Amino acid sequence: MQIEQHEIVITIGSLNLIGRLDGQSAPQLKEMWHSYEARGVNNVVLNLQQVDFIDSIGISTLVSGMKQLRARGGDLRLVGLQPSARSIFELMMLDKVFEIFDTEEQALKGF
Amino acid sequence: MARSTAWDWQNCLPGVQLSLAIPARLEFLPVLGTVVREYCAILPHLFPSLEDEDPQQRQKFGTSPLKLAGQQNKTVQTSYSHFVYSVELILQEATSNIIRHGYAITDPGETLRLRLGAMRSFEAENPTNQLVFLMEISDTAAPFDPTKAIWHEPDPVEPRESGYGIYLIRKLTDDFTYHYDHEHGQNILWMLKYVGSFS
Repeated sequence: MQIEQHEIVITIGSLNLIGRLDGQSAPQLKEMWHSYEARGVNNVVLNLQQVDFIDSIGISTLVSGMKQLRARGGDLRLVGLQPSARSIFELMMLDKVFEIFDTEEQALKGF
Repeated sequence: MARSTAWDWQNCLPGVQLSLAIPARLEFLPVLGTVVREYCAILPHLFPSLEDEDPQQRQKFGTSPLKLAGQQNKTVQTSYSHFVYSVELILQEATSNIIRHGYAITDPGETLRLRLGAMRSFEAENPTNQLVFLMEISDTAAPFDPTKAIWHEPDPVEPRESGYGIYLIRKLTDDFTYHYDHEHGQNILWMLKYVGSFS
């Protein structure tokens, strides 16, 4: 018998945002999407535990990042969405679009 | 809900109205957010001391605790913190639209004027025990009616990457109207949201 052994390493980007995700700060996140594309990172876990406010431009930036990552065979997973922001996600039916997890550990499973 | 003639600043409860002028720049919107959150934090505490012309109403409003976020509300709010978040988001979306599209970020010297207040809801011109939150934003950009702007229902299969602002304002407010003040050359946006009821 011959055993061929390989190891596949997948790089998962992990981002922790703090503060407001709005029209003022969204360009910083867009820069991150470009940076991940340039480095061939297709899977990203985004921790929003410390984000206290997200407006429609912030949400658009998340949708845009998720679409780019999925187009490359990866995904954008969200962690720790605060209850008020989560209710807005539900209003926009984005809870059916994004995979949303309570902890980073849960989000990292299955990638 | 159609706007009643009773929805007016003249009917705003006395001693609770707040006026604010901020530079029409995105950098200042967190300042607006802080003001709105702080204002909403003190709002429920203002009512026990409010006076009303009708003694029965005074007693009713003066002694009863304010029951926040009533079932009647069509929006997703389930607690006062959701209400406050919604109000901040409504104002963020409306002002951000004016700054980015109305003024097109061309003139940092422009100003946005806001009025916040609260009043009792009216039904067939009669006051009810519902408390509503009033928001008015005025600007001097070119005339533009956001209540007639195109908006889209969310699509979970093919989510859009932009254009959520008007949808959010529509969903989160209980009244959203616009008029152009020709005399002063001002766009005036009027938005209203139910807060809760006096039990």
